[in-house]
Amino acid sequence: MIHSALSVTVALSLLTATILSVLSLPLAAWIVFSKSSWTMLGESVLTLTLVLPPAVLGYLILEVFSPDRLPGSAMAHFLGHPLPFSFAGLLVASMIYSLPFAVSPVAQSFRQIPPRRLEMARILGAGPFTIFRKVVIPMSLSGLATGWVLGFAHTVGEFGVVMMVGGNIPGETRTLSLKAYDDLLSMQPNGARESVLLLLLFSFISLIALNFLRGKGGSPHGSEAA
Amino acid sequence: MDPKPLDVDLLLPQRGGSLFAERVGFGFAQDAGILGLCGPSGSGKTTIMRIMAGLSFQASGRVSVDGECWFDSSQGVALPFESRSVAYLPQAASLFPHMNVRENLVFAARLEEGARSGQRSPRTLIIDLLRSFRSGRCLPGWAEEIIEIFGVSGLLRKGSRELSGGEVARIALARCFLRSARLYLLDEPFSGLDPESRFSLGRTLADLLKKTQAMAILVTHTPDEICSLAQGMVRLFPDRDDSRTPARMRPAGRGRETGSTVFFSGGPE
Repeated sequence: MIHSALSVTVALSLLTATILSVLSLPLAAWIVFSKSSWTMLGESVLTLTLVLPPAVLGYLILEVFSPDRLPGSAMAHFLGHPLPFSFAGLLVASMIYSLPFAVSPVAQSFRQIPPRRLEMARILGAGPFTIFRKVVIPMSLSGLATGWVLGFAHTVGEFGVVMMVGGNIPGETRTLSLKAYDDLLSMQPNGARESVLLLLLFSFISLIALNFLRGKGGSPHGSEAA
Repeated sequence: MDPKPLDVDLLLPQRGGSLFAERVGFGFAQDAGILGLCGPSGSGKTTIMRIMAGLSFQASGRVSVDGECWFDSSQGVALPFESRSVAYLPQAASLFPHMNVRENLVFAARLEEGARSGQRSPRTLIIDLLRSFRSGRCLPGWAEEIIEIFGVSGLLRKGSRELSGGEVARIALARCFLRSARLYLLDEPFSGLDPESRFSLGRTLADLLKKTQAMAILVTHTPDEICSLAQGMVRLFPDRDDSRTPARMRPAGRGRETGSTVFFSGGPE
């Protein structure tokens, strides 16, 4: 039992963190480097889930992806089953919920790159994509890693959204936090204790990783070799 | 009369809340060589360089090279850096910290090879996207030659943090010359170097410019050291109030007769 909940949680968190890390590159690049005034709005939408109650987000996802509506029915057609109450639905919900955690460290490290470095690449003849791939990304590795760890940790710990969207199906959408809740409700404190200890372990490891990254971070942007 | 290889006449923007704009005009009559640009801090040297490079357009006036107009505020011409045959070495240029010396130079050499194969301008995003995934660790032969000239071949394996200030200056200069251009803008390229290396590097520079038939504008605080190398010297005056006239009261003639710039345009004549 604990194994299936553990594997759902790990699979969900790994996938969410990895997909979000990839998505965070263009998103953060747009927020930081675009001169458009839409970035303000974009950033607000992006960070909305920071302040939105998870239950509200879960409800909205259920609404939008319900098979009665166009996005939901298109998705159901594509997947072969409705998005809510499936692992794929859980993944989409987790990605939306953890998006700001994965994107803001990346955006932060993009902002820390001194403009003269970007200009240096430009005056050596680099175009925007080359600058992004050869200068911006290599100089933001610790921010990318931080975003990945935060996305992972935040997905491991989420409760409200998985409760609303996942439907708590054992082996498919029941995560460790849901299992702990279930076990407690059904008077099985030992099972709950196992899940809680595992969650604690994940959080602790994530914090160690973050502190390690923070210690290493910053150095690539130093102003040596002036 | 043929257009001058370099003709600059600029009205610099007002700075520091001053009421007055500053007019700078100079030219260069030779096809190749060095034009010194000196003046105290705050006299606008870097501003001029950035306008000539096409990185800033905060001025009015015009810049033309070989009769080709790069910037003319009255006609709305303002070519960006990518459309000018120009290379720019900013003051206190640094290497990319995430690359070692070789990778820094390979980066520049690859970009130059891409530009030579034809598409420097217009800059197409697709080509840039494809190119951004290309990587290589080897320096092409032509690049090795330039690196040899500047005497940095022995530093290739070093990390960018293990270098002295003088070594960084040398490598940055070599990297700048990996880009082939008609006009090189060098903002204090010799800072951090001892007088002896300054002299020999200056010679190297002058020879290379002669060989490639290119012009260089060299910003310096110590004009003496490049006197023997330069074909001309532009001297900017400090920001003194008595040296300024309101821009609108100045005669509309050539920049060289007006403003706060003493010039001396070198040439064979």
